[in-house]
Amino acid sequence: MSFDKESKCKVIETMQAIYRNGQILEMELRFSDRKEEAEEVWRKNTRLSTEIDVLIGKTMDEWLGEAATVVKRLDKASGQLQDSIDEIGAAINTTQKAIKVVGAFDDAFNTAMKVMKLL
Amino acid sequence: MYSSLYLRSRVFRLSLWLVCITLICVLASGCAAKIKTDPFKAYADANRKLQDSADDSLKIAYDWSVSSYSRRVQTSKDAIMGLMLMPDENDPFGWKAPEKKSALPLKVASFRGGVNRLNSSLVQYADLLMQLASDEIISSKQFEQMAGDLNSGVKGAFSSIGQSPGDSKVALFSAAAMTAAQQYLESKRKSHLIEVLRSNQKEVESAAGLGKEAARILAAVMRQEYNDESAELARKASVEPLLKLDERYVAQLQILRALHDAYDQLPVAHQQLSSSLESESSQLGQIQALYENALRIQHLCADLKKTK
Repeated sequence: MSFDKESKCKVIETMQAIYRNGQILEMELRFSDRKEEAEEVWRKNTRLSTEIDVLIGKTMDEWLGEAATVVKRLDKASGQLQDSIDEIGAAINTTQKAIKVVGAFDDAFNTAMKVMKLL
Repeated sequence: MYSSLYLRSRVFRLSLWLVCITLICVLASGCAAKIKTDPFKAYADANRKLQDSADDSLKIAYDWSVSSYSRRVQTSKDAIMGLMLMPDENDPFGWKAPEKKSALPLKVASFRGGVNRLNSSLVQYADLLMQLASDEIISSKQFEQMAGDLNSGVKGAFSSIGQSPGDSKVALFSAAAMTAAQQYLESKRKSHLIEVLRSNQKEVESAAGLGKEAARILAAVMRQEYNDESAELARKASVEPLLKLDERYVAQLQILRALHDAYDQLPVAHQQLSSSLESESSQLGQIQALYENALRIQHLCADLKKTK
């Protein structure tokens, strides 16, 4: 039987409610001077507490596994964003280079004219 | 003579070709509206605040689980065994909690690291969004400099072919070409942003879902510790410490509820970034709400630390 995220949290919360009711019963027994019964309830409840700890720990482990996948996808998205930023930077560089080429026309033309005269 | 005329006509044709390309750029880009950077900056700030506030909440959960576990260790052998770390065969620098007996504080510590890693990725993503949306990537100064360079370059090119179009005409041409280039890049940047926001909406939703789940798991940790500590105080009939504990527990649940709500706001705020690109006015509503909620969590955490 598999549980989805919502159900897992709900199971823990339900177990904790049962555990809490056990503690309330234990207190009522103690306050009514029924110590032996109170101790018995406490013993059984302690086992439930350990189980809840284990379940919380497992839920955290599963969460960490899922988070690692989402982190990978988010990092990939960040990588793509960085590519976009670099692309815009490259476009600016290209524009700057194109302007330098226009500036070089003059020099190129003069050089070509000198070569023509030599021929 | 023929060669010289041929060269002149080639250069002139090349210049015309450049003008045509510039015009095509203008027509292709249209008049790209300027990207509003405020929402992106606010979103990045909100993500950073969310990371800090989540870590503050986790620190509180960790501290409580440590103090509660210390009490449990005094009465339970299993609790002591849970603190004996084991080596990790696959990692020379790794460690493992003992199976089935692992101590909850160790789990909380590792969980805190995981939540922090998730939030770091969200912050990094938000920072890069801000960088792409920022004016600094295409600075006006840079384009003014380029317009100046183009100005002298075009003048030189015209004079090479024995023509003088006049300073004002050249300046007009250079300014128009640079405006066109700037608008073209602005439009390209905007389309990149729209695509990134659209394609990553699901990832942000997944991350936010995990954040909400983390808040709920932490609430279970807090409840577990509260149940044990309050029962212990009730057995001793320590009324005043019990009252203080109740107050602290309620405050911690309030923090976790706010954290849960903040993660709930995250995808809506991310969605609002897309809307801000298409709208004339800056829409900061949801992003601002996320920032304020994260700030509120930090204040609640600070208040809780003071009452300790």
